[in-house]
Amino acid sequence: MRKHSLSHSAYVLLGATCVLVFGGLLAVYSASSVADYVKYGDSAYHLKKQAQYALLGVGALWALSHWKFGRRRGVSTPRVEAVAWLVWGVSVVGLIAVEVSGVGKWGATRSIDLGIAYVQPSEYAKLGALLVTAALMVGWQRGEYELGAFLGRLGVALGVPVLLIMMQPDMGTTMSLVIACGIVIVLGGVKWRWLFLTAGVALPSIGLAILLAGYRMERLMAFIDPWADPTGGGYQFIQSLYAFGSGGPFGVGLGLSRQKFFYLPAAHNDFIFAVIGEETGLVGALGVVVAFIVFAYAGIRIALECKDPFGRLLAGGLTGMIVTQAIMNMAAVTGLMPITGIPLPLVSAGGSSLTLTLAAIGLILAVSRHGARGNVRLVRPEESRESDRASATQWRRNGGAHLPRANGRSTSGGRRA
Amino acid sequence: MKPRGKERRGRSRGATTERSGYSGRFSLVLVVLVALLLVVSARLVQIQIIEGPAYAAAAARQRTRDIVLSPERGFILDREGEVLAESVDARTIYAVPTAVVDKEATARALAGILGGSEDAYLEKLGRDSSFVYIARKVDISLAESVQALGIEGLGFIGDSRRVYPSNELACQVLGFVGVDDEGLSGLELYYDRLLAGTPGRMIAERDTRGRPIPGGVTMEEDAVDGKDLVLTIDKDIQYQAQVALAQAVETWGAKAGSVVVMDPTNGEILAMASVPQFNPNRFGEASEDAFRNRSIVDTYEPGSTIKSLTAAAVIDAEIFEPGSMFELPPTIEVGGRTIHESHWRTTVQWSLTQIVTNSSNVGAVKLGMALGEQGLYDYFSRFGLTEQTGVDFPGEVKGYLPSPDLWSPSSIATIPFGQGVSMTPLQLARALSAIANGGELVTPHFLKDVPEAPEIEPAWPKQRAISERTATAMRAVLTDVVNEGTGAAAAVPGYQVAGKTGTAQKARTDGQAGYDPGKYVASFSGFLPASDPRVLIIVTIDEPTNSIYGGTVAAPTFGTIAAFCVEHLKIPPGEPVTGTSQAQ
Repeated sequence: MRKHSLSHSAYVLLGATCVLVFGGLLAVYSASSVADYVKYGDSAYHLKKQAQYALLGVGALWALSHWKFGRRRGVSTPRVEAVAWLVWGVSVVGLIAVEVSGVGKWGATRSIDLGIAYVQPSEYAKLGALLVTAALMVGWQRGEYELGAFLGRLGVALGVPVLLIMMQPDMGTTMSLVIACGIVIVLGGVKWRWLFLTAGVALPSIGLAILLAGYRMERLMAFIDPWADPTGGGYQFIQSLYAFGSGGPFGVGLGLSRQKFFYLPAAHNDFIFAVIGEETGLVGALGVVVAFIVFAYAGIRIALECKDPFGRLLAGGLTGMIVTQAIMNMAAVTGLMPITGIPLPLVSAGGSSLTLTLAAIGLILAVSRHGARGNVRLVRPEESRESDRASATQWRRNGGAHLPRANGRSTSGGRRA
Repeated sequence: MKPRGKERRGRSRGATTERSGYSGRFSLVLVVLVALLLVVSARLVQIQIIEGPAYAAAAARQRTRDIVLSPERGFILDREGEVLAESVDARTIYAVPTAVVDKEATARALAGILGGSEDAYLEKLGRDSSFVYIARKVDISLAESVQALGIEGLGFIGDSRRVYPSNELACQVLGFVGVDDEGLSGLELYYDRLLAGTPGRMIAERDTRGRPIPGGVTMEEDAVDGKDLVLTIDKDIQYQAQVALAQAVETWGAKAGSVVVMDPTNGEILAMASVPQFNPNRFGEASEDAFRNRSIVDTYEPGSTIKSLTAAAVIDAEIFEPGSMFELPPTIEVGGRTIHESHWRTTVQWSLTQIVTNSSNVGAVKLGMALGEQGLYDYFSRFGLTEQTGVDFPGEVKGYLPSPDLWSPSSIATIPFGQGVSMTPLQLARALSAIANGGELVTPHFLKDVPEAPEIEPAWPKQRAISERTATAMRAVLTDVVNEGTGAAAAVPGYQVAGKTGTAQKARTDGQAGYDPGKYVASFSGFLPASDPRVLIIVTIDEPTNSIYGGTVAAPTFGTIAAFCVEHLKIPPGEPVTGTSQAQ
């Protein structure tokens, strides 16, 4: 296998990405055309914007996939952590700018006007925080930090953006950021009892945040019983169910959504999954779910194929971030959890989300392209399949999740049992 | 879940070497992500397949509006195509009270433009409802003034409004419609089905702001506009009749009055007037008494007028001829009751014709007794006194004529001169039409034609009452009434008029038997030209106070209307008719 080329998993990841982006463009066009025609006199207003952002995002994806973060001799350079803090710093400046002169709608201030476009720094803050967390984890694994210094830096890296984003307020993005960084920490090997302890502290504080903000309580109640207030708190959720129900198994046909005629709020961004469900039915909606399963599988495989600890954490964390966002969006739209205002990655209309997600995918591809360099060779396809079978056997035997080792090392942990 | 790298940990502060990399944790994360995505998939199956149809139906209900498309109500035209009732475009103004921000200012503005009280509008705007009518069927110009204010929460619906351009003209005949354009009285009610048309229906899928969803219309049925009606009414004659009647009612200090103008040959009603009258454009302000189309819904004792029918019966039964002579005492006693003349006289020798022209009660009793109870009843039945005329008008009543087995011993003496029997003016018009047209009862009617529905050919049946010979003889008798009898005031210069006066007492209304002293109905019934009658007119004046006699109160009104008719209808004077009294 040629060095610097993309692995099989990377192509799978790119394939899933293409399906979601192009499907998303179609869905955005269908969902926004009516409202756009009424509002702007141009039914393709959002389509054009979304296509521009997609091009911008693909450019970022291509550029970042060439980022050589990697190591010579198995050691990440301190440069990586510096870069991570730089991205983090820029996004925090952006978050402060939102507090100072942000542009808001629906009771929250989330964007800044850069003159050419509106940008949501909170999207970039997720990337910044994730990069810093991954870099810190690697440093800690290598014993570069004392526990206090490590926890202090981690606290700053997460605390500052969380505080700033909660001030907007944006519970959804906050949750997404915390979950993404939490995945990095889990992947980084922090002892389970520490993790449970942290969760024990974090969950009650999330509960408190819900109780303290009336609108969050309202959303929670609307989630618990939407029919109690079908024209108020439960409205979005009910309209979303109507869309999915109207779609049935095969959908009402592309472009033929009825719910998009102002019944379904935010049809082209937060609720685009409902429009997909209405127009393409269960088949199309499951297609989106399957695309994200493929995406998760390919992303985690890329992580495992990587020899570099930072690369592994980066690919795993970014994959986790994107897929958990997708799960949170789809779960909210289908009524499995309260509505938090998280867009469906790659699909929902929204420049910041789309460009950031594509940039993140660029970083995952960079992990795939460069992370396998050095003294460790990649597993050969036939070995991979063999170990796939082995791991499947293991899985059945000891009830644990198991994936092929990218480096071909034995699955001794499983065999031990 | 035990992390697999456990045994390798401990080299440095709980973290493993980079080489171990916690692959198990990556697998765990992937499994959790996939599991959650599978939960989403299961949820999709639940809401799209299992519960899907219910949600789909609810969504369809939510976006589907059932819109009634109002048809335009047909116009009502007179026999020459002049508009009597029309539908003009209007607007209905409604409000969504919750959406009206400044209710006081809105109520003030509405009262300023539309009239009405500010408080009434304020009350409507204060209702806890999502829809309330502010004003229905408002003039377009007024509605546009309101619309120009741009008040949030007010809405406007296209509508149409019934307008009677000539106001009081033929008001009781035409009737009026309610707020939903449904006929409430008169011909508007009788022909409501023809006039109303069929409402259309549009079942349309609408967005949240009520705009149609393109390609979403599931059904549309056009409204079928109502049919225009052409009436037998002549607008000009109607106007003259109303003016003349109103004048007579005022002149004689009467309570009410009515006029029927009919073509005796076919039953076409050329005019029908009642006083008091009202303006159907503002019928809500009128007293209900004014709504009565008295010629059809009120009965009167005909009094002397009926003597023409009694006379026709004895001639038709070939008992007497117009020239037959009778010796008439001043009074006559029948069944324990003494019948007087209205003006005292000595015993006279009068012909049958003279009995009629002088309106002799004693003579009429003799004629009636010659026919007998059953004979009189049969003839009055043949003249239609026991049935409705069949006119195309709602709420027609018929008069009172009991069958002979219910008669008292004196009935045979009173019924021949018009007491103890009652009829509507239209029943009288129908009976007299047989004398005028050669012996046939016609069916009085208003509908002449429905131009847009040629398939509707209303039948107005005729039936023979008396022989042509009898009719011709009676026309001569009735001509004498006007020429030298009690009806001289009904004369029309250049024309021979046949007719009969009537001065009837009104029965008491306080529950006691007998007649109410001082309450009379004065009438004149007749037709012209006597040789070939084209117009039959009944004038009835109810409770005149300045004078009570038909010849004084009603005959001049007859004359006025008749003179206008012959001029307007360009009726030639016709052959002279010679009464038998002169021939002898």
